[in-house]
Amino acid sequence: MSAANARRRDPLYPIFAGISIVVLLWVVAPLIVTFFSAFSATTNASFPPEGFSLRWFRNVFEIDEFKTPFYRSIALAVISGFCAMTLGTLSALALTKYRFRGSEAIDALLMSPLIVPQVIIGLSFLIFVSRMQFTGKFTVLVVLHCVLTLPYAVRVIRASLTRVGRSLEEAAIGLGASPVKAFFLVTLPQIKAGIFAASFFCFVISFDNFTATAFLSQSNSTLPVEIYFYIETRVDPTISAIAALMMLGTTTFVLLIDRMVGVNRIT
Amino acid sequence: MTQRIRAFLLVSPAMLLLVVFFAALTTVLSMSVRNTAGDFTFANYIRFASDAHFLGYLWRSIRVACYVTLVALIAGYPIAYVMSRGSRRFASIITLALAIQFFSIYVIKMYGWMLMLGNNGVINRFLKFIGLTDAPVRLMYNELGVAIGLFASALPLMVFPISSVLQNVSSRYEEAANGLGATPLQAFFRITLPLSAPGVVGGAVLSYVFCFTAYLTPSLLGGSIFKMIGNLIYDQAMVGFNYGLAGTAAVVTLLMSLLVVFGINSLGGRLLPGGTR
Amino acid sequence: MKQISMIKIAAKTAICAVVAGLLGGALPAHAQEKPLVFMTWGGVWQKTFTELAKEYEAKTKQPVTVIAQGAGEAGVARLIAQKANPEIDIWSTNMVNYERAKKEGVIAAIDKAAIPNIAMINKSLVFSHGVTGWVSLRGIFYRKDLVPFEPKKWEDLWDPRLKGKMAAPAASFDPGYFPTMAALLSGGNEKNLAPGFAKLKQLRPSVVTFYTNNVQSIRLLEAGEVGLIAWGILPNVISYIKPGSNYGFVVPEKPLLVAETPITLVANNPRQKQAEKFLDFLLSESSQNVMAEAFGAMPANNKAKGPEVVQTILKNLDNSYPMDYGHMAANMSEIISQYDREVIQ
Repeated sequence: MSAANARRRDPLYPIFAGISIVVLLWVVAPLIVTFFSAFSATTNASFPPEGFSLRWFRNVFEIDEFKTPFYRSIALAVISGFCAMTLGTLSALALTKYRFRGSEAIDALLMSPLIVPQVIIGLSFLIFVSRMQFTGKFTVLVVLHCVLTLPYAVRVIRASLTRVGRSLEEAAIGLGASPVKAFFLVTLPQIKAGIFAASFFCFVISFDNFTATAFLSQSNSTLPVEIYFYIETRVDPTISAIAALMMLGTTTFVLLIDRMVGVNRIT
Repeated sequence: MTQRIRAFLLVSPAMLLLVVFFAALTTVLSMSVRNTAGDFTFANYIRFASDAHFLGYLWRSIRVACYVTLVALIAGYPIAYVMSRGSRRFASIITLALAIQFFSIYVIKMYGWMLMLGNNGVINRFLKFIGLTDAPVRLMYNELGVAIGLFASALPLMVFPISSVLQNVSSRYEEAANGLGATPLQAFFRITLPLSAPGVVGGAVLSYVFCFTAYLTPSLLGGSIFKMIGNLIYDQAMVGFNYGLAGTAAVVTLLMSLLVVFGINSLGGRLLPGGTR
Repeated sequence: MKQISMIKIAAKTAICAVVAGLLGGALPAHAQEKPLVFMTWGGVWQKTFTELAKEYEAKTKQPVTVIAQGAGEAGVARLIAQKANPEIDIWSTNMVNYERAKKEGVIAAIDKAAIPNIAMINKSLVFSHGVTGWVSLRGIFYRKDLVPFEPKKWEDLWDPRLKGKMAAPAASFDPGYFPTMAALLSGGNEKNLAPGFAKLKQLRPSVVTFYTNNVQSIRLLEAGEVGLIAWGILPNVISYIKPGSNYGFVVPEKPLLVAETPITLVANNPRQKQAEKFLDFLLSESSQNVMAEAFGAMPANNKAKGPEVVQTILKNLDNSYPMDYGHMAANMSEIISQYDREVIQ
């Protein structure tokens, strides 16, 4: 029976579909509201917007305060994403290829940043850094973001490795390739999608991170932290304009990923 | 080289990174057992445990995390179901909508909620417009606003794990059940739901921990009237300059989170035959 | 194979990104003189000081970089972390963090002889480890069309006609001042806040909500959710106070609580001499006028005038209450806990 037929005969499907639409409309509504409030002609960020104007969008590009944080966020996300992806791939390899005692414990340790609350991670880094009298700010942020994104990288690549299986790699080794060569020539291309997905995840999680980062670096900081403090001090719809632009960016990003890899595969 | 050594070599870089992480965590622990003079003492913990005000933070956070996670499960399971069983197009739209919402910058999501929930926000103006209410309904700066904001952010955390497990639960099992005489509802409750248990457990854990330790949402939407344990940690560390008390609250929060994670994991393993692995 | 070259390209790009990032973070500013670093708050403060720095550089060839600090004690935390090897030379902060920094030994004692412009500063505004750069006024911010009468004194907040019409500050908003005001009205002070908390408990039924930052308070008034903000910071709302405007700001004088904003010199600093010269520049009449005008504050320099709006709101600081900030700083944790406990809940 085809999937479509299965759907038609499933009484739960329409109910669930209805619930899904309602719930999703509810959670997407604030994004839509924010998007349109950016077009307001007055300083009142409201919905529906009062008048129509693009002045707040213009204002965004004239704000100095966001330029450096924006680049910092990008650099941070790229560097820590790359590191997390590398470390994550190595760890995922170890966990899937080899059966050894303590693998459960290692797995739990690798996942632990997900369970430790953001507030606590931020606080602990803050205290640690001030205790150690260490002032390489960007380096600390990179370490923090690596820690935060590592579990995601491990998870995604592990899932990818499990799906791919070892048979091809073992065949290559059987034909005379060294394990390292076999990995690079056989396994790596197979988990290409997974690596791509992991990098994407890590990039977004790092770029988006607020709480832990805010504890560490309230100034000379990343874009989300800067936006938060901007919200705290300005009353105009510039923030709506920023939000609208970011949403366009996120949407483009997600659509691109969907086109290339399929969002279903990474969520 | 034995398997074990190879494996350890591979994980060692990640472990090194996590060593920094755990070292940082221990400084919090060490600050929590010190007073302002620097001597070793459990005074902070005693104070925290005996002060109804501080315990109130804990209780509020547990309570909100519990019911928001529950609502996220009830609202999110159908979404995961549709994502894995729906037609290509429909499932894609749903997935994209949720993904865009999930990947939006957190601060901006909350800002959007502020525009929706304020006394002059979208919802209140709509209610007034259709004549349902006269005076604005207080949707923000209270527990309701915080819960709504938390729900919106917890939903994707609940849906994605469930959907990824459901995608692997082939609908053939249900077909087989149908063939053997089960009604679709029976098939769902007896087969699909239990098999999706690992996803439910994963989603519940992520959602709960997120809500329990939230800081930004209660800060922006709770108006200082509804504060959660994350706010206590922040206030005491950044305004009160009291790392000892902040550290204590942090350690307690961490222990409670771990407890709940293990709890949900084992509960899931016992109630639903699908198991948690 | 195609996939391998793709991976190679990805790896090369990533390495370039790493190098670029490290370089970007590590490259020092290329200047003839090493710039002095001045840490202040972001926004209008950073902007204004950046312009003053340009003026200073034109005069003295000494470049000054102005960086931003976060709210709360983020600035102090940073200085403490850099204690052994400070990267910051001059720092503007609030009185509570000043006391904390003094206690931690990260700011230097002021050598009056090295800063001649101190002579023009009001004696009460010169401290052992810092000099006030500007005075930020506190008071009641309200909308004339939303209150039954225009408040004039602090006691007016407890007027039954204002029931359900006001918002009050959260514990973390300008911490310590609001309960001190209430305490001073009821026979206590900043060291004995109990009467203040009792009095604020009586105020609670009048309070609709609490605000944690300035924008929130402004929005509450703009949206008409409340008619009055019980504790407002004048510099943050000064653009709303114009003749003929719907908004009013009153600085009650019994007690008169003001927030001095000290500028300090970081301790253990080999460039203290250069920092002292820049501090002297900031205390000069012209700089003071620029700062006061930009911030909507009262200048510290006796000769400087300050913006007209501020002058109409408060004539002088003669009756300002001398707050024991040291005590407040040491007990801040307890103060905010108690405020949460007794006033809000």
